[in-house]
Parts: sequence; structure tokens; C-alpha cells
Amino acid sequence: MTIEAPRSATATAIPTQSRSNRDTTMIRLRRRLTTILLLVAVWFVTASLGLLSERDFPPPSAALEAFVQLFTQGFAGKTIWVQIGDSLARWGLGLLVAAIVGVVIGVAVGWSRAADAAIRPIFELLRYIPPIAWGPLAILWLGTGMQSQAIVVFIAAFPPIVLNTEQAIRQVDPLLIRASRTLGAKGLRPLFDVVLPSGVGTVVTGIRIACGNGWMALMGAELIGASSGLGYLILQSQNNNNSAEILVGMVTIGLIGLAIDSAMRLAEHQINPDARKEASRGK
Amino acid sequence: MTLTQTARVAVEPGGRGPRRRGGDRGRRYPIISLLSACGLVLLWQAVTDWLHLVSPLLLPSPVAVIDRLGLMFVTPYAGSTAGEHLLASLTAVAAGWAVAILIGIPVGIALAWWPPARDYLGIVVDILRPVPPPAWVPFALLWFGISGIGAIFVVFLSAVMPIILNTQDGVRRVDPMLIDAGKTMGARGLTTLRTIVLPGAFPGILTGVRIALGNSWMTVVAAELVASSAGIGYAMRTAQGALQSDIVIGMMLLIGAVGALTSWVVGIASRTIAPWARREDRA
Repeated sequence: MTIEAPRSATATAIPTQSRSNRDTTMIRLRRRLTTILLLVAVWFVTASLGLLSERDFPPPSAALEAFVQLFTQGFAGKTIWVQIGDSLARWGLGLLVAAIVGVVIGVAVGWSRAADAAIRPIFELLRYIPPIAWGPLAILWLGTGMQSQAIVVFIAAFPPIVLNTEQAIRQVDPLLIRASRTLGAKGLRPLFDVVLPSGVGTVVTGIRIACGNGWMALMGAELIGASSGLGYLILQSQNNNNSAEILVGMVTIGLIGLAIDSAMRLAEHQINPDARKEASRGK
Repeated sequence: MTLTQTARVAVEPGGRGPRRRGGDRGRRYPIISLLSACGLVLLWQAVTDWLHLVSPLLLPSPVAVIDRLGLMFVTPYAGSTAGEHLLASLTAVAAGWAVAILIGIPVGIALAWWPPARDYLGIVVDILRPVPPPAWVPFALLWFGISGIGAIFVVFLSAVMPIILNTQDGVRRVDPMLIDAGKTMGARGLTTLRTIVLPGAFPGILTGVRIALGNSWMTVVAAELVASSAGIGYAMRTAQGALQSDIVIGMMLLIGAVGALTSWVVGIASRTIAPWARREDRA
């Protein structure tokens, strides 16, 4: 949960560099398109031959119909936009609280050994309970409304933010802190003037990971107990044996997750263009 | 966890990076750590059994939870004893994880080793990756009903991605010099793969397998919470419906304990199998 993707810094050098890069890109694109077209063709053919039971997987026509239906007329009186809005609101609330509390606790743990000693054991006691397992308790306490879903998001998003903030604080060159003290900074001033500015990039990485974790946990939580949201939508579609709506819902969930991650990567890159280089150096 | 779920590398607490204030942080203040851990449990006991500040319906006392948990190992609840529920969940995890290892490692090697596969096969991985594993639960229910196979299917999906991506990453990280050296000495395709690439990629593969196990455990709980007829998640779901918060919390503790235990065992096992992987393993 705490965690960063190893993006291999150097992809294996492909020996055939005689062709221009543009050609290579074209070849790669063509290969990818081939697979996609092949899959789509298989989908159409199996559907039209009746090999695919519509209960199990929708034929393309039904998927398209469900897509139009969900985005224009909606499901149980709400268009999919409303479900998306509900999910995003819960996600945003959980993440916001996690970011605020997580950064504060991360700073405390990274800065003060006493705070570290006090908080670490509690963290360790709780970290092996998956966020989704808090769902039933949250529902018992708060019902199936927004807060109980947001709590699950919070629990999923909290650890990466704390750990990355802590890391950000520890990474700071101690010489810089001593230099600022020599120059007259007292008490907590080096924390605000030196440590926090230099650690922003790492904190943003933590928030990016938290965004993904939170979105995934929310989809689980909405399956367990919710009366709206994308997770609720796909579970209801399953109850109605409507495979086309499940498919549209899943694709929407995946695309939103992808959009969130891309946006966060962009933000990360803006704030700290060297992040990726540093990460690979760290390994 | 949309994208980063997969190839994650733990930022171990106090792991890498220059440490500002000496060695094992937290160990310096053992008394604070001890007080904080005990304090949490005592506070819980105080607000419930001693001061009656919280309704036992919402938060039963730790003593009551442990009592109830012990009883569940003897008397069946929701059709089985706690041990049997645990066995059902662990069986699904073991099956899904094993299939993910069998499929994920070859796919990961192919993706890194054979350039066309990176596109032909890689696009499929790229499409499936952003979908959070719990979002597969409706389809799993549609296809397999509430039998255990649905849970195994979802566990497999959550486990296979980190294995594929970390295997791929591990293979890419193998020093090209070693491969060239092998070729110079006459090693061909498969020999290179078996004697140089696989041992070199082993740390990455192990990391993937370990992350996969954590994901599996989290996912099986999610799948069982939504719909199942046995397992820890099922017991939790039943207890939530019956407003038995002592059982819900007891199951959470059990899930956490098993998660911690399995991660500890796998950590030891991977160090025993591949001692040379130890450093990479943490990175």
C-alpha cells in the first residue's frame, strides 16, 4: 500500500537501431492495433454465431445500446453521470481527509523520534487489515451513506501518504538543516523553510499512489453496501443479469482510474521533473 | 489501486535514503512505543467496559471481541467454525495465487524478452490493468455463481498483474553485459534465459509474488463480502447484517493477523530460497 511502481529507467536496448525511431513507433502501434482488432473481431464473430450467451457477456450491439442508455437515460432513475458524481464525491472526501491527516502525521513521524515511537506501533497493528475489511464496521457505525464509503477510501489512502511524507522528511540533507540553524532558524523553522519545500515531490508521489488505492477500495466498498455509485451500479446490473451494463460500468471505472492516475502523474512531473530520475537512482 | 497497484515496491519504514538521526528509530524510545500500543487497547477497554461511554452495539470491548472470537473457533457461526471459514478463504487465495504465478511469470518473461510480445500481449495487460480487481466481482458472480470459483477468479486477477509487471521489470533489469558475456561464451536463446536471465530476474519475480499474495488476501475478503457461501468475508457480512459488531471486529482482527503472518512467512521463505535477492527485495 505504500508503494511505488518500479519504472525501469532503462528499457532494454533493442539492438536494431538502424531504423528510425518513428518507424519503430509505427511498428509498435500496428502490433497493438492488430491485437485490439483481433479481439474485437473475435467478439463480433462469437456474438454473431451465437457462441456467446448474452447473459455471460454482451454482444457488441447490446454493449453499445447499454452505453447509450446509461449515459443518456440512466439506470434506476439516475444517469451514470450521477453515479460517477457520487463515487467521485466519496473518493474526494476520503482522500482530502487522508491527505491532511496523513501529511501531518507523516511530518510528525519523520521529524520527531518520540512521535515516531508513539505512532509506529499503532500503524503496524492496523496495517495488515485491508481497507475493504473496514467496510462492514463503517456501515454498522454510519449506515450506507457517504461517510462510511469515504472512511474506506481514507483508510486505503492514508498509509502511502504517511509513509511518503515521512520519507520526504528523512531524505533531506541534514547539512541543510544544520545550515539553516546556523543561519539563525529556531525551533520548527527549518521544518517549514527547508524540509517541507524540498520534500513536496515525494509527498505528491504518495498522494498519487493514495488516489489509486482509494479508487480501488471505493469500488470494493460500493459493492458491499451503497445505494449509489459505480460499484453499486455494476452490482445491481449483475442482480439484473445485465452483462452489458456491467461491462459499461467496468470500462467507466477503469477509465476514471486511468484518468486520475494520468492527471496525478502530470502534476507530479510538473512539481518535480526529476522525480523519476531520482527514484531510479535510489534503486 | 489502478495502475500502481501492480508493480509496487515497498517504501520500507526507515528503509533507504540517508537517515537523519541514527539507526533504528523507534527502538530508542521503547517505553513510548509500548505505552502507545498498550494505551490504545486500554483506551478501547476503558471507553467500553469500564466507563460505558460507547454502546456495546457499536463498539464492544476488546475482552468481549476476543471472547467471541475464541468461541467462534468452537461453535459454528454462519454455517462453519472460524477455522473452517479461514480454510475456505485461504483455499481460494492459494488457488488463485498459484494460477497467477503459473501464468504471470511466463507472460512477464515473454513481455520483456520477446519485443513483439511487448506490443501484441502488452496491450491486453495495459487494457486490463486499470480495472480494480473488486470490479470483476459482478462478472465473477455472473459466470460462476457464488461458488468458490468466482472468488478464485477474482483473486487470480488481482494477483497476476503484480507478478507480470515485476517479472517483466526483473528481466529488464538484468545487466545486458552479463547477457552479452553469455553470448560470447556461446549461450543461445533458451540457455541465456535459463542460466542468466531467470536468476537475475529472480528478485523482481519474488517481489511480484509477494505483492500478489497481499493483493490476494485483500481481494478474497472483498469477494466474500459481496457474495459467497463461506469464508471470513462471508462471516463478516453475516455479522454485519445481524448487527453483531463483536464478530465484525473479531473477523477484522483475524484478517489482520493472518495477513501479517502470511507476509512474514513469505518474507522468510523468499530470503531462504534466494538469499542473494535480499537487498533488491527491499528496494
